[in-house]
Amino acid sequence: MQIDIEYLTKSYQSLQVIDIKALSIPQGQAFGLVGNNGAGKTTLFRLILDLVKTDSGSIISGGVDVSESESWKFHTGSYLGEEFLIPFLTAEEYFHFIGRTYQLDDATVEERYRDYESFFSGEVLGQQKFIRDFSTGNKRKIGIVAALIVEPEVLILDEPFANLDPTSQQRLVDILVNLKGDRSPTLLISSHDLSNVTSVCDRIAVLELGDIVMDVDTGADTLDKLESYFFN
Amino acid sequence: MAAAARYSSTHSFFLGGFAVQLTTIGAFLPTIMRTVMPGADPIQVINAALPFYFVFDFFIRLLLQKFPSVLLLAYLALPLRRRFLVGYILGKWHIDFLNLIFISMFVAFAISAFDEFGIGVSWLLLVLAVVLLNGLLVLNIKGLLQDGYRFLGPAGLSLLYCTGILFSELRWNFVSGMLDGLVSGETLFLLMAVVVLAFAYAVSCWTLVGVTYRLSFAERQRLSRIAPPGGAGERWPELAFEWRQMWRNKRVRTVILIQSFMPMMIVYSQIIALASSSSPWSDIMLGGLLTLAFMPVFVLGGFSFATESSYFDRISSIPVDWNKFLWQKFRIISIWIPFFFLLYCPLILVRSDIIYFLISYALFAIGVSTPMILWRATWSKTHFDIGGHSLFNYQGMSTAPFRIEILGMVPISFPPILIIPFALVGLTYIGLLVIGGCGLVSLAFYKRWLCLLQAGIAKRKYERLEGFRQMG
Repeated sequence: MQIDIEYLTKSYQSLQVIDIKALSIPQGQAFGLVGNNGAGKTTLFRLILDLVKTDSGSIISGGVDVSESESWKFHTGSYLGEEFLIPFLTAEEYFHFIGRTYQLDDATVEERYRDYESFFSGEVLGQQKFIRDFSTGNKRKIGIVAALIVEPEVLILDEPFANLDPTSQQRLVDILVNLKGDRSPTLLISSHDLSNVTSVCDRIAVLELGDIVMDVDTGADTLDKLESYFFN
Repeated sequence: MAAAARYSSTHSFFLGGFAVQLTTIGAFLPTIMRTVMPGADPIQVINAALPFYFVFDFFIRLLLQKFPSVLLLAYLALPLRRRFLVGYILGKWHIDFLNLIFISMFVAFAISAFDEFGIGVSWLLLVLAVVLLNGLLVLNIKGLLQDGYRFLGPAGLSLLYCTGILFSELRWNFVSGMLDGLVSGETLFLLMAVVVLAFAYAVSCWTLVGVTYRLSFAERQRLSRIAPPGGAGERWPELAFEWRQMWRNKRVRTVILIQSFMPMMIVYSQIIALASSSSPWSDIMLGGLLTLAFMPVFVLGGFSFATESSYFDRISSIPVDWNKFLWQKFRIISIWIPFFFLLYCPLILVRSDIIYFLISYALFAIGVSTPMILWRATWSKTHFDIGGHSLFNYQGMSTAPFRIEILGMVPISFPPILIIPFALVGLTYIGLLVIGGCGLVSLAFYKRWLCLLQAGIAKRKYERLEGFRQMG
């Protein structure tokens, strides 16, 4: 599904946090969003998920204005943070809850989340523990997998590599890269980890104070360009 | 287009002709009556006949006037304010053939029959009020039928028939008396008509808002179903999901258990003390005490909505059917009511009429209080972490986490207040009937208030999301 953003603005009080004139993410593209804290990455994702009201402009996901219809939700998987988790459920119950809202049967859901057992490193499934009692890294894994099991056409992940151990980070990179090969969902990832985001994404945009100041297709020198942008 | 224009012109010609005939009849009716019935007052004759006309008018409207759902659907697609749309539909509803009869015939009659201008105008306004009331009554009935309350048609007609048979004499006398009273200058009746009409308009607006929301949601859901993957639909998981959220928290569990059983001591001991007394005041006391029996329901209501404040972002970004979501919330609160009913049933051994109190209070709690809790919850935008807050440590805490409980308890004060005037005039049972009846009537309209609550959730979605996030 293609995502088109036009003349999008969002302010909190007098502070403008998003001001994007035009942004188009074609079907199947892995789009990375990088930027310093407060650049507006999470706000942009919340706007795309219709969790925040836009001041002006439009966001079209798969031909549908996200604030006008709910049809895009059937095709969209997302994880933006802990507020996407349900604290008093076990991980398995949470996966089944998400699966049911997308009308997936329990067997399919189980089959799908078991595919990610190596990513969980044996610390999540069968633990009989509520999500609230998991470590921050494992909570993130649960959230990411819940977004993946619905096999969405648009996958939105905010800081997916944060709080993950190096092994899990590499496994997540592999999962996301393989995803591009298998189903080619449109992938939107925000991250501070320039190396991982460069490994996964076909295109990377730099957001600064709500505005896209750099938008490049990933190539051999992209990581150097980004490092030079942020470190100099 | 040509056919439509021809029809329109023929239609107008026919109506115009009919209006001329009716105006003529209205204008000459007093003269005809004075000739045919010498000595009779034409106004009193017409007044005596008017109730029959009103009933006829009502049934004709019921058969002929169509609810403007097609019109509503067409306008819902346009960027119009809902308030404007409701006003427009109400206005259009009154531009009707049956109202033409009124204007043509009755205005002409009033001009011809009344000597005093003021009384003539008052009489006309009163009759107009009843005619408009008929129209609004039909609009409401048709609106409910639109919402799938198919049983209301036959049930309403049966009720009307029964009341007509039982109270026909009384009713005729009342309406005729009102009209005669007005003729003799008692403008109080006119005031009454205006009040009733204002109330009818308010109810009609409510009905139309409900129907427009339902239609727009139906339209949105239809659009949502255009291309779901694998035929997926919207839903909200089962009741057990809601239970887990509450019951798995030790603090919540403790509060629920304490709140459930603690009032028993007070209620049982006080009612046993009151058993021998039978006065209006003992009924009022009983009404107040039994309120405590259903109080825990409201604590449960507060918790039920507190849970979602932690993950409202999640449920707002997945395909959730908010109607089913609310229905589960309603169920989780209301299924406790029979439990509390049974808990206090042994009191019947102490005083047998307690059963009537329990039944009416339980019906009120299910039908009125629970929807009110749900309605209040749609305004809630304060994050309430039931896992994090120390519910028993009041030191250094703001009152914010408790507001949901305190406001949730407001509806419980209604039954004991309602019972007071009835108990004071010795009609406690009628009061209980009214309280229980309110619950039953509200339950009959559950689809309507679910739609309105759903609209409330959609309307305040962003501010609630913002609020939950800020406090999180």
